[in-house]
Amino acid sequence: MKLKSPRRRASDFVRAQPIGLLGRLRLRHKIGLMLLLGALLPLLLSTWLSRRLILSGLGTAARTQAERTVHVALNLALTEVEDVFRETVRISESEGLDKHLRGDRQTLDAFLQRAAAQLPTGLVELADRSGRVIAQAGSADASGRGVGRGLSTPNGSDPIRRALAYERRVTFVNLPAGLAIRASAPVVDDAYDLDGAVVVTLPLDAVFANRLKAQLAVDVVVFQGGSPIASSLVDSGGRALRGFEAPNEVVDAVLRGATRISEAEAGGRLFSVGYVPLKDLDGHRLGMLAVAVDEDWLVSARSQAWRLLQLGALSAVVIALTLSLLLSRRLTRPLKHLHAGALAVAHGDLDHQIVQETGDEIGDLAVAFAQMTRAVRDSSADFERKVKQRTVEIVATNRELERALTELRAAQAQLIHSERMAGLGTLVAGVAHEVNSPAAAIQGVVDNLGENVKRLARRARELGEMPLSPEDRTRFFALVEQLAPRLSLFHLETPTLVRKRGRELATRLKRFGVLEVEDICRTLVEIGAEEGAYQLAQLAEQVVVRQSAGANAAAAQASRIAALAVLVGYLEQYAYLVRNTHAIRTAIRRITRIVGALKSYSHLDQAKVTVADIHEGIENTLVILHSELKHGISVIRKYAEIPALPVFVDELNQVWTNLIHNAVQALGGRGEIVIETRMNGQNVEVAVEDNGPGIPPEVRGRIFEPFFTTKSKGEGTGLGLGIVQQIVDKHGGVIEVDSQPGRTRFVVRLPSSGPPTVERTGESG
Amino acid sequence: MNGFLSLALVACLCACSPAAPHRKAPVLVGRATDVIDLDPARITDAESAEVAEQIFDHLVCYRNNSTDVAPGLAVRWEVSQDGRAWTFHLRPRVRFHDGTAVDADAVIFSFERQRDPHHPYYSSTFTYWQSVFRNIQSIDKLDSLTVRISIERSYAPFLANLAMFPVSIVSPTAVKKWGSEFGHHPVGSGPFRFVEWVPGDRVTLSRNSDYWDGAPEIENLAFVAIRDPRQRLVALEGGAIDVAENLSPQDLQFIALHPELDLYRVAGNNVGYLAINVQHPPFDSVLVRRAVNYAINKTAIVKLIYQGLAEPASTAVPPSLWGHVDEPVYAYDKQIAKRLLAEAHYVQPAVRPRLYAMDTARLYLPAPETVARIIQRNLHDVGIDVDVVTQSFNAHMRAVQNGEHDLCLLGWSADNSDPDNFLYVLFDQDNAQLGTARNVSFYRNPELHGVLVWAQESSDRKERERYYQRAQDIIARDAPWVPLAHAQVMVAARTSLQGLVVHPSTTLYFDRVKRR
Repeated sequence: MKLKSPRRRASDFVRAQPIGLLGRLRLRHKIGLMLLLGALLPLLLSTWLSRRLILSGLGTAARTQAERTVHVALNLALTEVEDVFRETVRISESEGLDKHLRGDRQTLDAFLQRAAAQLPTGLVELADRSGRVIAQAGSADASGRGVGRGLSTPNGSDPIRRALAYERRVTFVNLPAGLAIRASAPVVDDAYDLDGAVVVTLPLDAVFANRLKAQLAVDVVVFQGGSPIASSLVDSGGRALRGFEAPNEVVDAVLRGATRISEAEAGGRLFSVGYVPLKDLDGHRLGMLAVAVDEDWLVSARSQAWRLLQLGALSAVVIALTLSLLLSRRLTRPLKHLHAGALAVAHGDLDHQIVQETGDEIGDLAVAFAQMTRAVRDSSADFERKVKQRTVEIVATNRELERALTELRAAQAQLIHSERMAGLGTLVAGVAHEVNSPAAAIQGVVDNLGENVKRLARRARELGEMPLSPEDRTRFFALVEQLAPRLSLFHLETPTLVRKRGRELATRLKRFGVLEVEDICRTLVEIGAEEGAYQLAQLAEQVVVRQSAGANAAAAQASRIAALAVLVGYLEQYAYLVRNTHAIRTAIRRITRIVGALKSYSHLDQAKVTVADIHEGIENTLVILHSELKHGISVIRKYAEIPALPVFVDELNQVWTNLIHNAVQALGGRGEIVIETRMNGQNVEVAVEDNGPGIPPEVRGRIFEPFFTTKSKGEGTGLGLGIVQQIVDKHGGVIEVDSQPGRTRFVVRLPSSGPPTVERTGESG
Repeated sequence: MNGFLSLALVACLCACSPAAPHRKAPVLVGRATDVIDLDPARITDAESAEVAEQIFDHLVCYRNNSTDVAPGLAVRWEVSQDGRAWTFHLRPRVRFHDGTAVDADAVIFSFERQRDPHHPYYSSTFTYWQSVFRNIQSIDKLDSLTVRISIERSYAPFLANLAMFPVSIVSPTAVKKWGSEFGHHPVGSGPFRFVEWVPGDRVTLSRNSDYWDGAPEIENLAFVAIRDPRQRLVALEGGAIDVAENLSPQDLQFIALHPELDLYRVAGNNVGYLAINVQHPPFDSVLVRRAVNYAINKTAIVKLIYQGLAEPASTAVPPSLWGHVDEPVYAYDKQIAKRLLAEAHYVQPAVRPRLYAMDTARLYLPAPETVARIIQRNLHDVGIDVDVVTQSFNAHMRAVQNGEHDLCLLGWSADNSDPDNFLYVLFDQDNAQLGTARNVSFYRNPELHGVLVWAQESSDRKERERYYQRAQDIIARDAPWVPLAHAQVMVAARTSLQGLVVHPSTTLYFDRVKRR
């Protein structure tokens, strides 16, 4: 099929789902955005850079210049101080000044005028030896007015006093008019004798500020304390300004000794200002000297940069948009062709051809797409063939599986059956053992019985031949009846105890005159007929009375003894008879019980669900296993009120047998088994617990495996717990084990609603 | 693409922002001249001594600004009854800068190489030893941390002498390694260790962080030579150096008023004086000598000539030294002077007495010629006419030591901080030998001699103080001098530097310096 030119029909155009924030943007929008960002970001970055580095660098340069210049200004100010000092010293050392001091006023004034003229605006004063100022001269300021007021030194004040102590000194001073430089020196003659003192005061005024400005080419402001008092600044009209205010923190810092740079505005211009403190010789900071570096060029540079940025941004946007328009069209055309081709293939046209239009990644995509279409075509046929083949294989395999399943089920049934058989085997062995003992007991008794009856008959004959009144005879048989229940009780007394009791009885009978009857007493004790001893003695007396009235004591005694012997002998044999019959009865009862339990235990004809009493089943099991349980193993029952449950009775009995049997085996002959039943919600729980050594952890996980056993060969197939698990499962129940050394507990939980499905199969075998 | 480049540019620029670590920048000290030698035994100039004092320790030292002796490498010491055997117990676990131990062997080595001409590292250039330590007879090792030094006779100033730089303790290992070049590679145990010396430019030291008395705060210390005092000041003012020594007194005002500079004025261990040659009449009369004292306007000289950098002297011993006594100053009173001269029947000699002065400024006397002129004028005013003779310092020294003068201007800078160094040297008869005299007034007083010798031999400080009181009283009474002034040492430093110690000996100590 040839490639159809793609026509945009609504049904042919599949749109992608918008994903994410920019989901709605098409490729051409993205290209446009990228170009825009690509243009704007560097622009912004370079602007930011230029601002930070270049412009702020320039700003830093201005500040640095201010700092440097203020130090130079300080230097210049201190140089002026030195100049004033030198000038003062020169004046004080002037040739003939001492004479002038002593001479006339006129020459002195002229001299001073000359000296003052050498100074820039300032005041020169002369004091005599007593400290009184006797002459002064001030230089004219720019306007020609004499300067002097506010600068004069009071008589005897500090500079004059020091000078009169030969001290030469210069310092900054705080005057009402402002700050000034004041120098003082003694006037001495050749011999350095004192004639007076010279004081020169130079104000730090606008003239001073302009002098500094002339050398520094920047404006200067003088501060007294924190207030501006003089500067070289002029406003736009050309009038002199006092200066500008300094920020408080700058004033604080500078008056504490620091140098500071700040910005200020005055006369409409912006300045970088450097401040430096002015201090006197005592270290007091009197004010500040400041230089103001013009920053106007900086401001204009900044605004120019801003304008350039705006221009640049605008042109960047325009260029970006144009480019994006042109670019996107070129990019999206081959993509659209690819789109159409994919749809065609999707509709089943596997012969559709995709042509590579460009050499870039989109071209790669086209080539790959064509390959894909070819591969799809080839593989689909192959695919169908394979499917058919697989189906055949699967069907065969299924049949195999069914067969295997059937076999497996049969085997399972067989296993259960053999286990039950095995269980039954154990059972039968147990039962046989159980029945054996009563049978043996009966056998033993019966053997004795014959002899017993013969002897009883003889003793009865002897009794008949005895001269007893009918009343006595009746009384005797009544005694026998009375004693009969006790005679059946079997006392196993020790011979020593029997002898002792016999002797005691004989001693008591002696009081009644019955002597030498120890043997007879022993017999009485043996058969348990002690109580009848007195009555028998009385009866014997009757016989003696009848038989040998008037005979002597010895003969009477002998006949008494003989009579007693007959009576007791009869009683003895009677007792044996009673005992024997009792034993037989007991044995028979035992056998009956075992048979009964067996019958109810192995309901071989009942393979269906019956509502049964769980306790009954457990009890039956216990009876069956009685022989195992009797020596050293005690069984404790904790039965709660539980309803009768629909269960597979014989199978469940198998479970109890297994658990109890296992417990017995685990206890090894000594211990305690606790069987507990209770209701737990909708379930009945039966727990079999023993205090044996427990199931080791490595074994515990495997105990429910069929054929798993810890017993050696011949002791058991080990199917037990596996079958138990199956049977419990069949009932829809759960079996759990919790074992520690000293406590192993199996809990079977059965739903009171009975097994989930009622099976009628699975009993074949 | 553009953006990445810009980002990269930013990153590069941020990375190379230079924040020079403030602490590492050396403290620079500007002096007039470079050091000459750093082997303490060979040093004779103040500049080299100052640097050596940073590198080396001695057995004892002066602490801070005092002139009292304190433990150095020796923690304690005893002196025998006869005053001749001094036993020093060394501080344990101290190491030289090269890691070797400071022990008795090192101490003995440091002394013996100077004392014993047969020592393998002896040099005849060890000049100080001859003049100051001649009296040491032997140094013995008692154990690894104990030495005993035996001196000729009981001599109390001995302990003060041991605080002088010539007997700094040097590393024997380093001396053996470098031999005569040890002066260019000094190894001591002091607060700073030697790093390098660029001759003509600077000596650089760095901190010894294991120093036994606590590591210095500053990392590096350098001494630079700036010949011109004005230039030195400019460098200090601009921040190129932190300390400037030997500044011109004319710059005092500038420094005092500069907000970023601090002025340190310390009374120096020196005295400037006018010596009166008592051998030459009319000055053999005590009355005349006292008249001379009254005639001279000392206050004016001190205030004006020294430009405020001195204290008036009433005795030879400076006030900063123990043993100083405030003797009454002879007031400036021409009338009393004239009266005394009349009492003495003073007659102006035929040959005018000569006042000798040197032509160059000295530490203890800034403008000798001017002072001479003033004194000349002062004396003239009371009727004593003198001629002033000025010559070069060496010539002046030779002349006065030979007793050519009637009056001379001279001064003395002490070697150690012991009053003996002033009083015995300058006034005792032992030192009045023509040709080598230090006692240039050639004053001989047996009583004074006795007192000074006792003071030398006693080791009881209180006793010595009493002797020196007596000595100064005698001298003041006999007036062989007109004591003029004790010059102050002026050092300027930037206010950001704290903890600078300016010792009266003119040495600066940097171990407690820190930058704010």
